[in-house]
Amino acid sequence: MKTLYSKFVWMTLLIMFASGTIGFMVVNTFYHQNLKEKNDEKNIEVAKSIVELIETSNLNSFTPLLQTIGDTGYQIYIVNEDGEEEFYGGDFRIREMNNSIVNRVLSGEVYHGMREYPKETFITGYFSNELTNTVGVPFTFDHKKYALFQRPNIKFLFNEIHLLLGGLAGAMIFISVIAMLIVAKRMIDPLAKLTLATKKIANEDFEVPILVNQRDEIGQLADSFRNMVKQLEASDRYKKEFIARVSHDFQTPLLNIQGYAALLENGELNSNYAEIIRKEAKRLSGVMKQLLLLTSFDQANNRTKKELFQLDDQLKQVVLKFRWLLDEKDISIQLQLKKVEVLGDQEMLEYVWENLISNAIKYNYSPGEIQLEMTETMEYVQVIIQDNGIGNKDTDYGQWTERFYREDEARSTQIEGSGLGLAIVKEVIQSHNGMLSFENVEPHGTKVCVQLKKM
Amino acid sequence: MVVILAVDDDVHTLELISIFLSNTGYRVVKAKNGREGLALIENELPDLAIVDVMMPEMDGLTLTKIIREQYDFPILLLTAKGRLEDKEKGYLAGSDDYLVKPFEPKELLFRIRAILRRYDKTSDANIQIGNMLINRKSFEVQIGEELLVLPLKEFELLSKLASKPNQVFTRDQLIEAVWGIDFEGDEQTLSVHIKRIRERLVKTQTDIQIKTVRGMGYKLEGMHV
Repeated sequence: MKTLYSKFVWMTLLIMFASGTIGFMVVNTFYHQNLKEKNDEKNIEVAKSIVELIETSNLNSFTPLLQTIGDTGYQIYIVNEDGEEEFYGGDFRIREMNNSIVNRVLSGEVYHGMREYPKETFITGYFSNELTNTVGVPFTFDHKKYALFQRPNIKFLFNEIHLLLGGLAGAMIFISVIAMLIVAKRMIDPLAKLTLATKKIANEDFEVPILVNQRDEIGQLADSFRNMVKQLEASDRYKKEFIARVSHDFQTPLLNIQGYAALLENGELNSNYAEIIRKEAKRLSGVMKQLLLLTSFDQANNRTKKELFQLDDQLKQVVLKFRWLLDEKDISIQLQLKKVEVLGDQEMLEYVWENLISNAIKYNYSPGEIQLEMTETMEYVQVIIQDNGIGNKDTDYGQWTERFYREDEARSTQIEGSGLGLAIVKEVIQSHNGMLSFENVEPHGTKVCVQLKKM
Repeated sequence: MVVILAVDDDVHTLELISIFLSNTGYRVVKAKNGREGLALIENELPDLAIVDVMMPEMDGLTLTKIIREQYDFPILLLTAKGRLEDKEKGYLAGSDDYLVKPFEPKELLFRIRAILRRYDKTSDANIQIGNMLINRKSFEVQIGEELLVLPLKEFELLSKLASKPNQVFTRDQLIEAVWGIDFEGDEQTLSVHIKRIRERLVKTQTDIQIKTVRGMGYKLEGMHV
């Protein structure tokens, strides 16, 4: 596996190498363009003063003098008109020298080898220890013409500095890599902790402490991670409760369907059985639909998407949806609508009206009546749905909206329902900052009042 | 005979729809997907199409669009998804109505009847008497600010009476208009329905009344009629 550590080390080394190379090239170019000529002049001065010394000192031989000068840090090459060569001081790496150059110097010219030294990208002219990279001057000794070529002995002069510079670079590289590793560790550690935490969470262990306290981007990541864990935990807890609570409501109708279907299979033709199966299947589908809706509410984050819409249009649409049922049960519905716009989640509120109106139909007599009335104040709009149906003797209205609440078992088994509808209605209305109230109507029937904020 | 094209990729659903509709007296033409359905339209010329949204080959929305462009008969979409945006998509594609699965067969029948009625060009337009507006396309009765939604039979009875205010309709005329010639119930049914309409009208803001004309039948009356 490619770890971030090795990536960091490689990147550091690569950056150092690249910057070294680029730096070298820049310096080299600078040398060739600006320093080369001055260096050449400087060295010609040196060469001239050596020659002057030789010519004016009345020496028997210039050898000891040149040896001494060579020992102080110069590389010297002497050649005379007879072609006799001598070297003093440090050695040249490349000793080749064009004869024509030698001849020109012998005939009195000055050789600017350092200035003329060809420019190459990866070799610094300053350091190249070649015979051509010298300066040459003529002189006469003992009636013979000589040419003297010299360059400073870089190795001799700068040996220690080389070591020092090398050591400096080495230490820099070493320390940089180590420091990079430490920095990398500081950055990678929280990531490793988060990775470990994700693994635990994947195994539904939500009790992982995430010990990351930073104020940078990684700190933010850790914060949102903690937040996510909290939400995951909540929805996980909810899911488990939900399954436990619901499985019963699924199992019962399924059991009935299986049982009665088996009876039909055995040839016991009783139309009641088919009806039971149909009703139970419908009950299942209802429970299913409502539970799905309910789950979306139980998410910790309420993601209702609110928009402005015509409440009266919505109410009318819902009523029209139930026309067939109204027709079946010979129920008329009287609507008193007002043109009112409300801000809310259309889909959720549609569910509210569907539920309340279907209740008004379900718990009604045949023939029966329903009145739907809208009233408005400056801030609120009130929707009253009143039926003259069978009502509910239970006046503990708060209980009606409990999940899985069903009115008095014996009576309510005649009517299909999951006991979830009003629980959802209540949650929708609460999420819209509205109010929901119930009232029994004399002599019989129920009045439901929903109050919603207009904006 | 009314011909209905049913398009659904689920064989059982298709069969179920077909059985219910056939029992009600419609002739049903079945297709398993949009392409097949389109091919059948040429020969059968249906009066209405029931189209499932999710199907292979050609989905219901595409089929609806094509039918809208080329033919003139209503479309009822069936879907398993009851979300608002799906409904919008359906109406945008040009469907006339929308039914969410699972549905009651009775609901399907009701919707079919309502759509066919709306498409029936022979059915009369609105009737206005006093402050009462009877909309014969949407089966709604508007009384001032109020909207009254009546059971269908009652609605038809009221609109028949309202078609000629102050004129007496005999009991037989009314029964034939609302229940049909081969109605097997007794005259009591008519009285019950008249009584119910009266009860419902009393609670509204209208002054229109149904008067019994002894030995003859009923008529509609109002102060401003």
